[in-house]
Amino acid sequence: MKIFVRIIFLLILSLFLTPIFGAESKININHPWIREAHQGAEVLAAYMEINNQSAHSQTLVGARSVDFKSIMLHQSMTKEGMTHMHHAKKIEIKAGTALQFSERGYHLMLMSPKKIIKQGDKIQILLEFEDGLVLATEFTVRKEQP
Amino acid sequence: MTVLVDPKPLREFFLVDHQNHEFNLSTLNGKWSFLFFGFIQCPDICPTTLVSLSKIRSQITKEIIAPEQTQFIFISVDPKRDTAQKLKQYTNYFDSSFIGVTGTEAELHNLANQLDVTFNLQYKPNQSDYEVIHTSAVFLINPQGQYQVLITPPFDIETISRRFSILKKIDTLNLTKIDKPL
Repeated sequence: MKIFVRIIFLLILSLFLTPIFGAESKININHPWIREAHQGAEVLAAYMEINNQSAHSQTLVGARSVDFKSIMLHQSMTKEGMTHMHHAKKIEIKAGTALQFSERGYHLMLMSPKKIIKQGDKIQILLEFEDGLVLATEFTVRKEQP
Repeated sequence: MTVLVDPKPLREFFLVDHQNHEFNLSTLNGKWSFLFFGFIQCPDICPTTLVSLSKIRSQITKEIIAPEQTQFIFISVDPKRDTAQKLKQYTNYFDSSFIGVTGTEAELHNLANQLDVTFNLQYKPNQSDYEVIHTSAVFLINPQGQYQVLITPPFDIETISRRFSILKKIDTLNLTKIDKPL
């Protein structure tokens, strides 16, 4: 009888949990990494792939980490040989697609590190999406793109 | 990688390297010099380029050219923030042989204009944080102090090394012809 009650309880619990974690599990963050920088660096860059396998587009609106004063969504753009950084307020990832954050393109600009960041470190960054979803992602510090 | 048929001789310029030594036209003489314009607080393009340049240096100094016959120079167009000490730390991180250089805005423009490099510092009143727009290419100056090659990203290390090898051979042949009386 006890086992039966437990099963019923778990089934009811799963009904509540599915909408919360279901959407989250359909956004995968692949190959998250931070480029190691020189000692005293005031800005670093983080890269990843955001794979949106949900049925709806997802929009990244921000990022934060206890290890940096602030983080901005950026895109390096080169036009007619001139390069500049564009501060993106939000970045949309359409349903069923993957968006690359890679060198010379989209990246997270990590400003004012609060500790020395060196190769091999694991840094947690919270990725904030428009619908309120927050993904805690562990980025590995590397010298080069994996 | 675009090789200029008629290499362009550079005019005098006056900059300062990360050891507070003068860096001028004579510093380019006798060496193949790879020049890249950027700024330290550039988190993406500049480190990506400097990692590529470090690989190019490693590749070409293995069998194509002696290390002392080449130099890799990072020219900061942001002299307000990028001091000699900071440039030293920055360039050393990528390759201990790299030279960090900067100067007055006027002298930076003097050299930049000769290479068709553009840069723009977008100062904001009372803010130390500002954007810098700059050319993303690398410029190769031959040992005669002439601008000879434009290298645009993305940088393919193998291709650049192979073409540099050919370029160096041609340059050596040309110099031999000039040296020998007809």
